[in-house]
Amino acid sequence: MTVECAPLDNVVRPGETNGPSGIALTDRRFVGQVNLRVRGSGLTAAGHALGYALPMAANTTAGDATSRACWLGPDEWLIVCDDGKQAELIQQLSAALAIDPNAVTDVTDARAVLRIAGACARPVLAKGCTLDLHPRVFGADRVAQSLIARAQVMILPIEGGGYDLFVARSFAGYLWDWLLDAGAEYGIRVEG
Amino acid sequence: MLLIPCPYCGERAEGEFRYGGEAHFRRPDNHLEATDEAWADYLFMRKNPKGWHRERWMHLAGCRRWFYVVRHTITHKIATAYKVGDAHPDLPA
Amino acid sequence: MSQDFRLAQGGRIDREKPLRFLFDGHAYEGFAGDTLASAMLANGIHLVSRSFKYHRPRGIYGLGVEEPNALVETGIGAGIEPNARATTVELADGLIANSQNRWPSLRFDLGAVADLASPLLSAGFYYKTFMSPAGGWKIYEWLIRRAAGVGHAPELPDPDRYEHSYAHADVLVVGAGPAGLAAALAAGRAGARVMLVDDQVEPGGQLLNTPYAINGRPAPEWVAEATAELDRLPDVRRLARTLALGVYDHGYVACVERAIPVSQGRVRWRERLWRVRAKEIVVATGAIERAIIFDGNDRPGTMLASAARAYAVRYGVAAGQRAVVFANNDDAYRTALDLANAGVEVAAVVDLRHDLSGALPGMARERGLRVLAGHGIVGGRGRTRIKAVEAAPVDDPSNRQVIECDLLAVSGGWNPALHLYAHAGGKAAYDSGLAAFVPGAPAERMTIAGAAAGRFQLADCLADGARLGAEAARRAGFSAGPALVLDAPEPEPDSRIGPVASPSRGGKRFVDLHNDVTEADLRLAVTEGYRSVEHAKRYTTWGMGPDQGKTGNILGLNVLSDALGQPVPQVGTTTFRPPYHPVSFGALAGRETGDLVVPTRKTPMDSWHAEAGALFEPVGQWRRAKAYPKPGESLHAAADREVRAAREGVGLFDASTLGKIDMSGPGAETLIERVYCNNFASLKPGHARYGLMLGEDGMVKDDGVTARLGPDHFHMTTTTGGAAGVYVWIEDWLQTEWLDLEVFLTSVTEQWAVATLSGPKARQVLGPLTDVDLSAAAFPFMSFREGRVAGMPARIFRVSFSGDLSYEINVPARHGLALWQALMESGRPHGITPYGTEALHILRAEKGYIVVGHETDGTITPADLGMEAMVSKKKDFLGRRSLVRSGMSGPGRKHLVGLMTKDPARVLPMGAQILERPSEARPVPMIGHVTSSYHSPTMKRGIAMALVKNGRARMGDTVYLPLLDGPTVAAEVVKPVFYDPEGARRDG
Ligand SMILES: [Zn+2]
Repeated sequence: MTVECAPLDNVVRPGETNGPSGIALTDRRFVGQVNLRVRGSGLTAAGHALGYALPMAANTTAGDATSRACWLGPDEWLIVCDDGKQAELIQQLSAALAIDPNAVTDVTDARAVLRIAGACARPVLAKGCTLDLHPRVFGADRVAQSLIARAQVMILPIEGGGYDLFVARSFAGYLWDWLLDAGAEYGIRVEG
Repeated sequence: MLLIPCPYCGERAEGEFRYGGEAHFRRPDNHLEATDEAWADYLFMRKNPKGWHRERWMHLAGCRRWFYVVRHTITHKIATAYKVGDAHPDLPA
Repeated sequence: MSQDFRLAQGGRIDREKPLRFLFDGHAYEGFAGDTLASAMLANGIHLVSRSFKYHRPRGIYGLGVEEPNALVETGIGAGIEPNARATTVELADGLIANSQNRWPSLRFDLGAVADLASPLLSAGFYYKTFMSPAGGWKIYEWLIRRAAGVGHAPELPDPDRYEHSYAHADVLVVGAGPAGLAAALAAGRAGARVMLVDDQVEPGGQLLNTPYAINGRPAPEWVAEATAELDRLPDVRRLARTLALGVYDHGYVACVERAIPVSQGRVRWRERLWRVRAKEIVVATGAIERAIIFDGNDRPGTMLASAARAYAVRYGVAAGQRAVVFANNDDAYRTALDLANAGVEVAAVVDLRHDLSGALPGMARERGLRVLAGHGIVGGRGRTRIKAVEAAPVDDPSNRQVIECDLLAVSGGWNPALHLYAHAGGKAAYDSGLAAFVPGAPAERMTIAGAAAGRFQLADCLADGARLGAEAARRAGFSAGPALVLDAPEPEPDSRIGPVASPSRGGKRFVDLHNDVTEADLRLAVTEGYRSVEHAKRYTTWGMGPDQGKTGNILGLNVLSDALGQPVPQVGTTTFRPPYHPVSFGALAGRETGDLVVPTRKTPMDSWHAEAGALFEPVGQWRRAKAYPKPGESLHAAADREVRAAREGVGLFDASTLGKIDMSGPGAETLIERVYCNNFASLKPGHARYGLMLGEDGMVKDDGVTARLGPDHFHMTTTTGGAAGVYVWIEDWLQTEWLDLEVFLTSVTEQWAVATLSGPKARQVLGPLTDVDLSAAAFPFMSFREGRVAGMPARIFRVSFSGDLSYEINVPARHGLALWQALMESGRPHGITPYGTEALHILRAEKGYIVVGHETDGTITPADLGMEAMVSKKKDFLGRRSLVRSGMSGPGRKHLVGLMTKDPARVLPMGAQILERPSEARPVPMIGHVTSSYHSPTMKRGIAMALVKNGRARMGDTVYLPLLDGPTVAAEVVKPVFYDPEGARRDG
């Protein structure tokens, strides 16, 4: 098969530090996150507030320069934006949805976002995630909720290869340790 | 590990789901007036068939929807999955 | 010792790369490309083990996973691996291997007395011998455990790392022999995502030692070409050293990959478990040669003919200098010819068949080989190595001739390797022509190609592979690519197979070499009534060794067939279950070791607790501070100190782990009313209420405080452990039953960090930090306010789980640590004391507050807890109908009560059983058990909560608690509220 990512050779030498790496792990600290639950006539109203239509196909995303809506369920989306922008977003959505049943909830602090970037990100996730992340199946407009090892995650592909992993805050330390351990084979390094 | 076809997300590994047992057993109408027998039947009695079984699953690590699956309890073959409110498909022969 | 048995030329080993290894402390040399077995044979080592039961000397018998004898221990110290097959261990420089199951040495093994005593050790020996006397088993077990087993488990932790990887394939091809390579090429050319796994170091399988050509060129050249093409295809993944262990449901296949061995340093990973999800599986696992039953068929130097052939052709090793080939089929002649061509003297081919008119026996005769038609082997010479065989006509077994040899190559026909097919639910069919089981009805997502389907000719294997590979790709959605044209002429064998057993003149005739099961054992089992194949198998342990009877299964079935007078298909076959070959625990555990076994969930304030030296306890996956002991302080002393602070001054508790669900929508009030058994409709916005949740069975399920944020907006809290379950359960009702309710749930457990300030000085600590008016009048008990605390946006709930004035302060999780620090700082002048879960439990037990899971166990109703007054009589709610079922009330139910030990210093153990009288006749009637018990620093005595039958009718009575290995303790039944029963302290 074409080599997309080469592991380090399988020998640990004394005093070795991580070698040339095709993979980096970053804690993105805070990413603005708004949980939106709405259905029926509220869908259009929410689209107006966001400036783009909510993605209705399962496990897809839509967005613009300000925010990106990730499909979580048939009446549930996670709107992702820069940290600090979520309050405004909530205000706009709540105002637009005043007459439609909805729930607009700030969950920015509920999830950490770990970024695993580089060509080797996919084989690292494949060590603990049953999803098929082959680009043919999991393209740039996709999103998925699943498990990595024993942590529930939302996986969002990023430009240039790699993923943002949204994980419940209390699991972030576990997932971080797990990714570092699983990525050792590829010389993973911590950035930022 | 089974592949469960979530009607929303498609086929996903069993580990993402929570099992909910037999589907479509009815809570007695006017349940507060139901007889002890009818109520106990609803609470405790399940078919547990050897063969095709309509059952409930929730995609817990995914879209968090409850839905129904027709699964064969011996071979684990899954004939179909359907959403709440969908017509109940016939069991395979 | 030099490699005396290495042939002068040939083999696929690298003679430029000598590798040294140790076996039983002696140094030897082999070459890169050797297995441990081929290197041992190159050095003339045949004797490698003692057998399991009789401790008989045993030699290398096979070539790969079918090996029943050559189980060795490799490595030293923590790196020891017991029961490694010498035939599957890749030779590496510095490899250390030792024989097993022998003492004091392999050549002189005291355990071999078992062989002399073998008439006593027949089938069912253990069952018959150890039945009596009663109680004798303890001694027998000790003896058996010493004598039994094969290798020894390493005693040090495994230092190696094991990987797991999930993979997805349109077409998974198992086996890279002719059929597998052709299948992978055909599927790969169609554009399918292909995974090709093969347990050998080199792809090719039998093609590596076939003399025949493909498309006019030597087979290995075609293998190299095919492999290169596969490696160029972008979506083909080819894995060597990878064994498919098992096929599970829905195309799930587990394979284990071995790392390339290294001679220096440590491997980064040692094994990788591939968990493959395949749309289609092409099984091209080939076939395994089987043996023939004959007298003394286990002498070292006896091996499968195909193994002897492969050692010569693939590894350039003469497994002996003078070979006898024992045959019941034409394929054996290929071995004879290959051995002769490689330079091994073939003394004779002994064939059980009379009619040898096929092409291959003809070629052997032309080559000048001596062929004894209609002959069997009826005995042999040599103890630790074969020296000669006795051949005799099958019709006249006493007419023996002795043929000297040091290698006996046995060919009893081939068994398709159907294990994966069986795992997938396939039912094999018996082919009497092949005397073997072949695939029957198709298994789901699986096709079977080549020798695994009983098609042994090379051309058939290639054609099967090409066709089935293309078909699998098509079913996975890919149209066929360029066709594979493969031409592979070879001599047509006579397909007739002779008997599987040679005539007997007495002597041991093994059907299962690993477990030392003989033909006589199986016949005895039938005589004793074990007529079902599954019973005979378990009674004799035939086929139950780690090799799962790969070489002896058909032999045993033939014996049973004969003994039962039934044809083989009627006798049946035993079921193959995963794994195909033993797998290490390390490979199965993968990354789930050490700290990564389960997630440790940490709260936003966790780092503070750790720095403060907190003693943690796991609560579900959370780790929570149990107490903050000072240096030298015990847990109990710390908890006492923390309780006193929270009662008399002020304490601070991290309650972030509480489950929190945001409920919003016009149906929110109705939903809350249905899921709690007590009234919530009257709850005004800005207020909170304790709620009790019942299951449909009327039993207490969970509890917590729910606040009304707005008319259609609630903030529900659940227990830490119940959070996920409650969420799923409410969603269940909303999604499947109450579709009319417009209400949305959002889990906000992780959004909010919660610090609980508790104690009479709580107001003084919080006051300076907040803009919220904390006066009791402005901010009464069971209400909540939004405001700022230390500059952070906060929701403050005035609830109490200790009975004293408390504020539960919620801030967005990122501020949790800062909030905690600000409260500690503000509280310093007041002696603020952080308290952990131990103090929390004592505080709540002093007040008689229940904890779901302590005071409830799924069989406890609100009335049992004395909470029936809470239960609404007016509304409907989940569980209501069950509360009026018979048996849910009235006499005989257990009630929650308090217990005060007569000796105030005594603290009862939780779970202690309760009796009415200090001593009772057996069986002792137990009337209840202790659910919570602590030393109460406030009451300065032991206090306990308990569930006791008719407990409320026993107030003031004395009950008795017999303690394990201790006295029987007397206690008085009291109301389960020990502290401030009037509730005077909650306002501070
Ligand atoms: Zn789903």
